[in-house]
Amino acid sequence: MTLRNTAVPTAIVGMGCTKFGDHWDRSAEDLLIEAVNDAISSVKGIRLDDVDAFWLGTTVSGISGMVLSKPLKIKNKPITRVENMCATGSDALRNACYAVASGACDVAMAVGMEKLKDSNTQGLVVPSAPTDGTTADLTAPAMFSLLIPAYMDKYGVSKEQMREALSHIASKNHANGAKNMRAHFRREVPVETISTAPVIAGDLNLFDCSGISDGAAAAIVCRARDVTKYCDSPLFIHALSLSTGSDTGSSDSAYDYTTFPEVAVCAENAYNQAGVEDPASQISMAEVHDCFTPTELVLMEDLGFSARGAGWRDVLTGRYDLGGDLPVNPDGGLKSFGHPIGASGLRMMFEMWLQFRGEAGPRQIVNPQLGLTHNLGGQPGGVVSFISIVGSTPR
Amino acid sequence: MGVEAARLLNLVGVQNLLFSTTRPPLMDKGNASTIAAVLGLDDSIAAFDLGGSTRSTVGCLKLARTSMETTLLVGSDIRYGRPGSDDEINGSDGAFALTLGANPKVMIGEVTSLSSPMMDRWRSEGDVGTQTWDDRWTANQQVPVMVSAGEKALRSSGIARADFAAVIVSSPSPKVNAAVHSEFGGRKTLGVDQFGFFGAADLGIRIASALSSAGPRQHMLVVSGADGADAFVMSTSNDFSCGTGHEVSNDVGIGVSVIDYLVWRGLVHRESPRRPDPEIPAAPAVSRNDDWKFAFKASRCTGCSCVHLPPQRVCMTCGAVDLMDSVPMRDARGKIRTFTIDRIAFTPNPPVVVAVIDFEGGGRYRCQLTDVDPLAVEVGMEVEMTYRLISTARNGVRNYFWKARPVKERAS
Repeated sequence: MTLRNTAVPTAIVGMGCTKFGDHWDRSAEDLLIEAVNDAISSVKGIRLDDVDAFWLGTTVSGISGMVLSKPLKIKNKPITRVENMCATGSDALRNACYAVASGACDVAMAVGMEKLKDSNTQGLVVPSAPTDGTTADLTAPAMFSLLIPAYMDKYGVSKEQMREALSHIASKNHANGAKNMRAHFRREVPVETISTAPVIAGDLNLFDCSGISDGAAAAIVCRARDVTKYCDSPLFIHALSLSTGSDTGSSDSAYDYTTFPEVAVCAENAYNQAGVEDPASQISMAEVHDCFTPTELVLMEDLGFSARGAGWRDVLTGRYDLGGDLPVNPDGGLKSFGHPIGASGLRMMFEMWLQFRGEAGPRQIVNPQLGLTHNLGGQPGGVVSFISIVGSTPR
Repeated sequence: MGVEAARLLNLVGVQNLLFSTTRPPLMDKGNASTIAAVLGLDDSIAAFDLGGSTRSTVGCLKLARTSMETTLLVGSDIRYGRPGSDDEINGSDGAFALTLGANPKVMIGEVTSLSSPMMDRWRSEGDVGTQTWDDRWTANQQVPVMVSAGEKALRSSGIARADFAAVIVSSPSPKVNAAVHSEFGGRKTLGVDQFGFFGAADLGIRIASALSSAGPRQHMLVVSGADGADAFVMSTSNDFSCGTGHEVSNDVGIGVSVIDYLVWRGLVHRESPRRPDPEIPAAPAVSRNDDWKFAFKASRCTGCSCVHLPPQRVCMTCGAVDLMDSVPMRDARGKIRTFTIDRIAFTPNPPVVVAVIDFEGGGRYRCQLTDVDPLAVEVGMEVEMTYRLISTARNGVRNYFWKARPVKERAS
């Protein structure tokens, strides 16, 4: 397998991100205009017309690049609509970086947007091609809840210990989100409230699940050697890694529902690109895909932050709290932001942008060295996984 | 239910399949061909639906008994009606299956039929349940016709009344049944008597129930009343022994709430969850995948024996392309590896209980569980497959597929 970093390093020189939430009074177009204009105005002396090409990530809020060009009146530029499940926004960024690295253009923009709250449905609803009617219609919480009994069984974790760890994750992320003006849910939630909330699926209750929101975010990228033209404190890209599973976990008895094998491979590739040998000590902070609390728990192990079977203990010792050794989801995560699918990956990157520029306010992490963002889409047994590693110094 | 009954039989050599019901899942499009596909029968089978009247079943029997070919007869019915109606009080859902052919274990004598256009019961298209005329008038009209048919069958059999081990009577009216029984005597209490009338499945269920405790060389008189009467004599062979394929399940299974039942029958409508409508099975996709959709056949790699559910062309273990065997999995047993209860997903039978099942002999599949107490499910539980209703799509198609249920040990 030959997967390398881009031959020419890239960097983010401008970003914008809307508040995430129930934007009853704003359309998909409104969200795009805000995120794109905020990104443009974050870069001194640049105009929208200076952006050579665009990658728009959206899963269900429209098709083709015209979803972006029409509201912003972008005339005759190359715009690609990207869809890659919950990693959609991250993959838009990956493609924009590849474009500038290739030399095909100098400045590119990645935009992620989703407008979910007009739909009158509960949970995510993803369109599918017609089928033979044999696929079980399971909701996302049910699919991810399959992790819980398998994890407890494999590592001898009691129901009470598991509950405590999952509630800790939810409580931590809500506490972080309470400090974030852009988060959808800005209330701290005590562990007791979380542990006694109504059940949604399996052992997942209401607070183990992320919400559904509207939101958009945008990033402007260029080659790392060009950053001084645009920005004093850019975010340098050290790794862009994507791994797509073959979706065999639901039919392969070897899969045990305690890991996302795609993530482990994705992480190995990302760490190789960034020259990271010991992620548990070298990564300063991480934004990970906490769609459900057991997802975050398992990710701690797949990303190499915790040893196998030790993730739940590390969670409970506060290792991943905002003041811990390796803060995870300092911005509040999907738990606080909800999950406007196409926007989430770039929202994670926006937190890196703020943290590395010292603009994260009450959430500021002291002197971060390397940050990691991680997205996944799909279900245990078959996911798309994305990982980036970023920092404020060039690679 | 019809599939479930037929799965208990040895179906080797079956050439015809006759399906009888008064409540077909679909009309215009037949259901017998679906049953044949689900049972994995060869597509050269002649599969026909006969329905409309509860009398269809005895009609199938009459036509098939003289055939030189082997015929599978499946009768299945659901009986429901408005609160307080005869169907609600005296109706039961059930199914039977039997095969007719050479070297029978049970000989069916000539069937005597008498026809009568009497209006004892009727149902128009779209009616909730059956309407009936006054029971006393029905008895007055129906009993003499049934007795007459029964006597004629007795006479033509040449067997003395005293030599009959049992008389089996099937009609919608308990009053009529009692009167016919008192005429012929030899009433034998059947395990299924408590359930009432099974519609088009009634005659077959009663025959199976009587045979389940019968011995060799026994004679039974069968009298059936609907649109007139039919009667015949049934005799067990010299080597007949009960318990070989004559099984009546009295297991009422897991309790069903009245509300769930009324929702299933379309008599009460539950508020839909804020989720997409149940998917419409696409006819071309169903056709392409019919071995999977109906017969639950997996593909097994001829190189490394890896089993794929649903069938795949490329092996997930060794990568071989198009080197697959087709293997039926419907009789395979498996164990639950992990499971969940989905309280949001749509189902006519909430909550959705879904398990990841690892089959004995290889293969994993994730599917719904049924006939199960959601709180009693546990990792390691042994399950078997059963063909069930998944949902009714908004185009009216009743989408059936395989679900798993806890293994019920059967007396062999």
